[in-house]
Amino acid sequence: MHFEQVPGSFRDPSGFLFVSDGEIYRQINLSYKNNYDYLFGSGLYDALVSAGLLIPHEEVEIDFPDPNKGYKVIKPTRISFISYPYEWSFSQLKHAALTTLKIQKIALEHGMSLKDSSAYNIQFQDGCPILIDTLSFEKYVEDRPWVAYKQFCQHFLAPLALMSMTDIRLNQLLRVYIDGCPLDLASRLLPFKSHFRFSLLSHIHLHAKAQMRYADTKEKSRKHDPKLSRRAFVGIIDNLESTINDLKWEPKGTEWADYYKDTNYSPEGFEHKKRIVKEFICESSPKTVWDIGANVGYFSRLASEEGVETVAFDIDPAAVEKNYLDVISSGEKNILPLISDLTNPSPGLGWQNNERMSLIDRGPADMTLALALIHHLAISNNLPFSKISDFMSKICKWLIIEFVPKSDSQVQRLLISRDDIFLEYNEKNFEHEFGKYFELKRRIQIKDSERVLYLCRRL
Amino acid sequence: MTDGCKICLFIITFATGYLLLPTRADAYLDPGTGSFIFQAILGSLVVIGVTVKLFWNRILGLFGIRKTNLSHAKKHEEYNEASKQD
Repeated sequence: MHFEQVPGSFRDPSGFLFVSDGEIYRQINLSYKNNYDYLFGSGLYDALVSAGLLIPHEEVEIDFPDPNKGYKVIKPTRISFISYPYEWSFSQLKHAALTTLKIQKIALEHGMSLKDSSAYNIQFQDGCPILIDTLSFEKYVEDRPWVAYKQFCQHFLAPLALMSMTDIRLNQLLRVYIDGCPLDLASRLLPFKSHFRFSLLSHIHLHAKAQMRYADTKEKSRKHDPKLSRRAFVGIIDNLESTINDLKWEPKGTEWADYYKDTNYSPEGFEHKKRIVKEFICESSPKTVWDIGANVGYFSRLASEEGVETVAFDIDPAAVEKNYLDVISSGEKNILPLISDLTNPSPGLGWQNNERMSLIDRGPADMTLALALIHHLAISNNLPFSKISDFMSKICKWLIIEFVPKSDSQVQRLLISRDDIFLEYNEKNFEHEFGKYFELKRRIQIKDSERVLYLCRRL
Repeated sequence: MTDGCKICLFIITFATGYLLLPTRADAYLDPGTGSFIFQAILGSLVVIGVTVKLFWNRILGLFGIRKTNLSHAKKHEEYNEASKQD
């Protein structure tokens, strides 16, 4: 049997993920045996799985990739699409934080505690955050402080405080710092008024200073390890929970927040476009769809409502936030909104650029929707059709793409403040370049519009 | 937590923590130790805060119980008046 260890799974001596025959498994090492058995014996596994907080798994009988260390092999439920905290909107990160704290509280009730609180242990499944690292739990030791407290503050609290109080775009710091935003940096970037909130003063500002105070290992002369009673432990968790709950951000005021008030479709034209896209989706029956430039997800839902696993990417944090809040309020299970800049998508990060996968490595999807997008790529970003079609051919098998001609009023707006150097931007060249990678199966012009929808199938 | 408690806690924390701790470290970094020690201190403050809150709630409760009884009696009276008018 051929095994391949998942590149991002190597830091935890308790076990690791591996892929075999296209399926993901987790080897649990002997060093984790007691904690794993206690996870079940204490009833914690059942409590968390039944509450939809921990990914369920089954134990399987297959060979250990590392037989000297192996105790068991488990097969966790497959996650539809792996995403990372720097791709999440404000509320997605907030809910992931609250989920982590909820899990920690339930764990304590069962005599266990999370040994790490990394945001990468959370994924979105069926619309909600869920813990995917079954090996995160250890038996609670009386009077021992929470070993994951610093990580929680760096992965969750600091980025959320920065997004709420300084700038929504600061979640991108998580792309630069793979173990969360350093607290001294967060402390410098937060506004001065954050010092007047006891929770932020303590968990971020003073916490950062305490880290620096005790950073010099030569000066360690303490005779006793610091103690934290169970009551104080629960108090800190409760305090973190109310701090996170109190952090807010309104999804408005960004460039694309009110996009649909600003389009040039007639009402009949908009409905016609929806009908055509729906028809194209039903014709090709994709299992997975990426909607790129999805805004609040009107067209993404044409796929997700049919039970298709859909990821709705947009560059605008407010649009993604609105989309996610709709997912939560409607209880939708098949759509995952994410923040992504198509001209600079998530790269491979971490050790050997391999711990976190690039966006392209997480594809291809069966189908991509590229609606009202091409003019932004070609004109605003100077991308020739050849580059765009090449990229599209790498990320999908089926493509629904909307050609927006130069005479369109939205394109004219893009050209107001720049020279029209786009002599090759026309439908004939578009068809020529895309025809190199795709068969252009269907072509329908939208009512009351010069825009044209194409259904393409990769050659 | 009452506003008075919050202000006291804030002043104590700010004065002892912020003014005494350094702004830079030039040493070989070990950020984990500081978090452990800080948790222990913060945990004590949180327990004190919760204890004080419980204590004040009990004191206020003694007055609060009477206030609640009065407001219930008033609502009952208003309801009776309204029923007579129907």
